[in-house]
Amino acid sequence: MNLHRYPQLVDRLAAEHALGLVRGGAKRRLEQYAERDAELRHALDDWKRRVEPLAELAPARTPPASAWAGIERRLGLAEASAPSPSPAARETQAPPRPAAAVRPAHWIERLSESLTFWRGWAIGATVLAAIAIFVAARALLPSTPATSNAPMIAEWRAPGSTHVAVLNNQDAHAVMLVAWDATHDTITVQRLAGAAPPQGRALQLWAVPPQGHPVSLGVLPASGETKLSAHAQRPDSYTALAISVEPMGGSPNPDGPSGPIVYVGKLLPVS
Amino acid sequence: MTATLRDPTQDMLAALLERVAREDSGALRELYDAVASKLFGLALRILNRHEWAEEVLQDSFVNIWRHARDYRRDVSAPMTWMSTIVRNRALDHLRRIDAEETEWSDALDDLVASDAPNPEALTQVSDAARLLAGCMQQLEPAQRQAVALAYLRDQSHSEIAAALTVPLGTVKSWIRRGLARLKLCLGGAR
Repeated sequence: MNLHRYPQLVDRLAAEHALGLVRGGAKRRLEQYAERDAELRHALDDWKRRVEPLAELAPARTPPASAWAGIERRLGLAEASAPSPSPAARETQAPPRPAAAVRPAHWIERLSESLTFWRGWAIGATVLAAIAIFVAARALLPSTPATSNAPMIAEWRAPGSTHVAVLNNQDAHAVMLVAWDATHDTITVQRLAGAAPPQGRALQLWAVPPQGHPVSLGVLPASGETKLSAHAQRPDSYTALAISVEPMGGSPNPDGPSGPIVYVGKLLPVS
Repeated sequence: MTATLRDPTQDMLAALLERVAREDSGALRELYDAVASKLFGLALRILNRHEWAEEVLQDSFVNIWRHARDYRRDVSAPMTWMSTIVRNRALDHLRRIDAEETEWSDALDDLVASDAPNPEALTQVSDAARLLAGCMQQLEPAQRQAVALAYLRDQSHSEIAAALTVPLGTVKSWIRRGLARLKLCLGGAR
């Protein structure tokens, strides 16, 4: 369908999208169109900008005093904000904890925060489920699919997968589908549009446990569908998958990415 | 704390966010003093329960601390950005809890104040929000309520119809006409 023949429909869809009223397959389709259609993308952005300040219009209410203490505790700021000791006192104090000791937890927390953060921005739980359980996807597609280089989700079959993840970029666009088959110990990575590493770099896939450091599942080739061995890793042990940009050959650090995390997604069991 | 006496401009909030991005915990406290009541009000509006709203407020500040470096002034005003974080965290919270647990006594109240906006209440908000507040006043109360339920409670057309006990078609046309009117009122303003 050529949406531009129906400018009023585009405007209405964009407005309802901004309010959160476009859901499920319709939402996914609209966002997919927008990825390759600048005009539609602008319509969505314009409406988002119009509607977002609605959140500012609620009347102010004083939060309980306990709220700040909780924030300080969760961020470990209580020490930092205490009055700084005199120079003399400081010399007698123990040296600060080495930064390396706290970094992994911080990294994981940051990632899990960004999962919900990004999901909140554009992909609702229903859409995630709709994409993840891609078996019924054909019914969600337009009757005359638009021409696209991106492989259609419906055409992708990953029989036997026990867990799936939709990895989103920072704009909450789905860029990779990962199907994990625990029975056969394989992980299939399917790219959607735009999931290419920068020149001379590689994308590395990580499994992120609820606690502890992420585990590398392998470095992806520059393009195409990829099958990796899970090397006896169990999907149940992980809550999310992430992709980082690394030097060719992967992160020099075995316990985590050395480069930026570019895509993340929750790892969900297929029910 | 003298926070409530302040009249923080968006520039001041943006400068604080910049410091927060550099992990300046003092700046986070200043930011909290400046906007926590506004953000708590929003969380409470969405969730209607103090303990949930407090949790969401904390989540949101943890998020602000961790994502301050991603904030872009050219995309949104600081208050809009922070309010959007609170809204998203609150809606996440709504999805997590059992819908049965949620007892909104104010389903029929205006989620967005229906009176002419009190200038004092708008001192902390962005220019865009001030403009929007004025335009929301031009909507019929029912249109305004339907728009607010969609955005601030993440309700679908049919959920809104159920909440307001009107036919689905009525809700759809309220929202459609409300949005058309908003667009007209906001004009090309960016």
